[in-house]
Amino acid sequence: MRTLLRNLVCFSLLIFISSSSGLAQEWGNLKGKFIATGDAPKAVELVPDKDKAACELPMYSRQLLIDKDGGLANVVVFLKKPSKAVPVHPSYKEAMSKPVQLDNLKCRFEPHILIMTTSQKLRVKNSDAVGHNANITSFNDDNSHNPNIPAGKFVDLEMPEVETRPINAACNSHAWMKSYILVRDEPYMAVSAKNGEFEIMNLPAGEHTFQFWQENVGYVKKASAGGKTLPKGRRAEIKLTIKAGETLDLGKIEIPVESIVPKD
Amino acid sequence: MMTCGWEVKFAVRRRKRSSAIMKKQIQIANIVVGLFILTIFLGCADKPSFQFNAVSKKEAENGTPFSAEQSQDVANILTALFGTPDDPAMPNVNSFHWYLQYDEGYAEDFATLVDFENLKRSAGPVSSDENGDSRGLYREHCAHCHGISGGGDGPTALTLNPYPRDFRHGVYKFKSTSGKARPTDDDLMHIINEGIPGTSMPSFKVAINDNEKKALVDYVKYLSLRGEIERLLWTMTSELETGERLPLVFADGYDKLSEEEKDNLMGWFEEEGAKVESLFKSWLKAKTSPNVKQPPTAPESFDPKHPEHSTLIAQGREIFHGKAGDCKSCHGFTGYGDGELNNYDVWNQWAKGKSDDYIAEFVNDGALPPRTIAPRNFRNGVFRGGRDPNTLYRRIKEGIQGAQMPNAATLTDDQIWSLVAYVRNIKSEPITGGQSHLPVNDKPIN
Repeated sequence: MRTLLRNLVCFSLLIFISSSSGLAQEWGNLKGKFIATGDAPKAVELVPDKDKAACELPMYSRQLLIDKDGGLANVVVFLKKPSKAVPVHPSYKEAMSKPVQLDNLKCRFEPHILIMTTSQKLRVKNSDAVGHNANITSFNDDNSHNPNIPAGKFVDLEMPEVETRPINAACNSHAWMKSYILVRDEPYMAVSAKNGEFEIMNLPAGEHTFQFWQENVGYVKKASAGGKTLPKGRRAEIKLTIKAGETLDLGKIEIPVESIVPKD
Repeated sequence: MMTCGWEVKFAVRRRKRSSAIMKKQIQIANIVVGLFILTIFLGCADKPSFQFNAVSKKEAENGTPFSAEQSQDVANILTALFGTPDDPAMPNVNSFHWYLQYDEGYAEDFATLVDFENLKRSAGPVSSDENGDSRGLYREHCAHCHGISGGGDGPTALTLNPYPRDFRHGVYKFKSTSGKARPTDDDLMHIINEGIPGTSMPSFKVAINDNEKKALVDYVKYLSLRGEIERLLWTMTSELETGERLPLVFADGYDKLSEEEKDNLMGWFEEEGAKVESLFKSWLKAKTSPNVKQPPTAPESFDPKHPEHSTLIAQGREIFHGKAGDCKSCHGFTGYGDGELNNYDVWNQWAKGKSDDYIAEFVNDGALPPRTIAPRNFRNGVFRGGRDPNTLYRRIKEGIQGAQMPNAATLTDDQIWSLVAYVRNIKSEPITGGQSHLPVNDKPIN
């Protein structure tokens, strides 16, 4: 009888634990808007030395894109590489099984910064009438590729390794072509739009560490919201708590222009 | 200061080669030798030391020079891990256990990466032991071009084109492994045996014996690994907060730390630790289970005696010039290698898009003046990695690491074979497409 009782208690406990853990996963969102403060430098014109007919001219560098209101594009926001798996909201499942596309269009990579998960294939496409290649360089041998992509063709690549920060992709026959790729197991990352806005949907509720990344400086250390500096320490970590069913709006995140101007 | 021992040797060599006409030079050489011997006696360090990687240090500094202590920390860590040019060491992976999540037996595997006796034999000054075996092989055969640290920056480097290979990137062009994978021992051995045609790298096939070659293969891997770790250390230094120092326990002493210090240290290595681990693993993989794919059998028409051989060449020509291969984009319409001349390879990448002033500062600090890429000129009929069909197949199929040659991701095996046939034939293809000279050119010059 005692054993039976014990089993019963155990059993009900088990049910309680399993059902509660099933219910426990709740989700919230994160958003914000990057603003570059200070005088924006003039956009650098890129002058192609060949295949001009395939390019849309004039062409400007995308390494520092600031709109008229100071909105800063191409800042990458992501969860710091987690040490264990992070739950993924079901709404991501479908997208995470489809290839993600890096196009060669009018002698530019589109998009300039691409985010993808290890479960996705990287489709490198060439929509131009001239040949391109995508030289992807990573510390992880398995993520490094340099496929030649003839005009109108595409190549599907496996990107099985997680990267701590965006890696570089360049075209070797068109020296000005450059883009970045961030590969993660979890889909919680975003690239700021032309107006500086970003949003990450359906993060697991709880405390997370985020990082901001910009191609000219790497981890962004000088970023403040409401007068408070967000990133802390060597890795520019930002600890944020995502509340269930809510959107954490960081508002305007200000980054001084001089801290992200490319050095030449 | 650090190269005293060696410059003496050079002066002596030059003297030996001088003819009677060059008496004056001999006198100068004598004075030079005398001066160097004098400086040695007066206390010049006669043991060479490894030099910093000027380029990666300066890139990491990004305009704000590191302090003397910060640089010294990097030197100390490297010495703790890899020893000195006279007294080499390999990192003790057991002291890395706190951040390398290696499997059982990893330390034993790592110990097989290079033979320590080989390192000892390659390192140090040129001499021979009681058995008459040569020692100091690297300094005798390699260092004058590749430099004491393997930076491709030895005393003769500046006069050579292409520059000697800088081993510190761990990137090798001519190898049998796929993609970015490291070369196998056999690949490095092949280069030592055959040299690199069209460059200043000679063949050592008969100059040294097999054991000596093996010793040098291991030493090149040692210099690569050391150079790659150095580059990581400079990146780590660039991320230091003001007044902060690199943790010197990188090499040893972890077990003596408190739990809090250990936690703090782990924070240091969450990114670099993973990179160190992938470096070690990549080199190990090339040693134990390299990803070497044998090229498929060439079509019968690859044989020059085959009646269809010219058709195969014509197919290759179409791919070379057409959209499928678009090889002309870099190698040029005539195969002169003049299609893309404004890009930089991995070793010169630091100069890409930079101003003359920026570049001049690097050169001033010890970088070789950067050179843009030189896609292979097929009109010479010289292929650096070798001209045998399988080798050329691999170059096209896998691309060339570091050199910016992409891999033929969309071509079929037969298409690649036709390209091999074509590029081997370009040197004998008339540039004018078989058309004889135009009337305007029908008079001899003069």
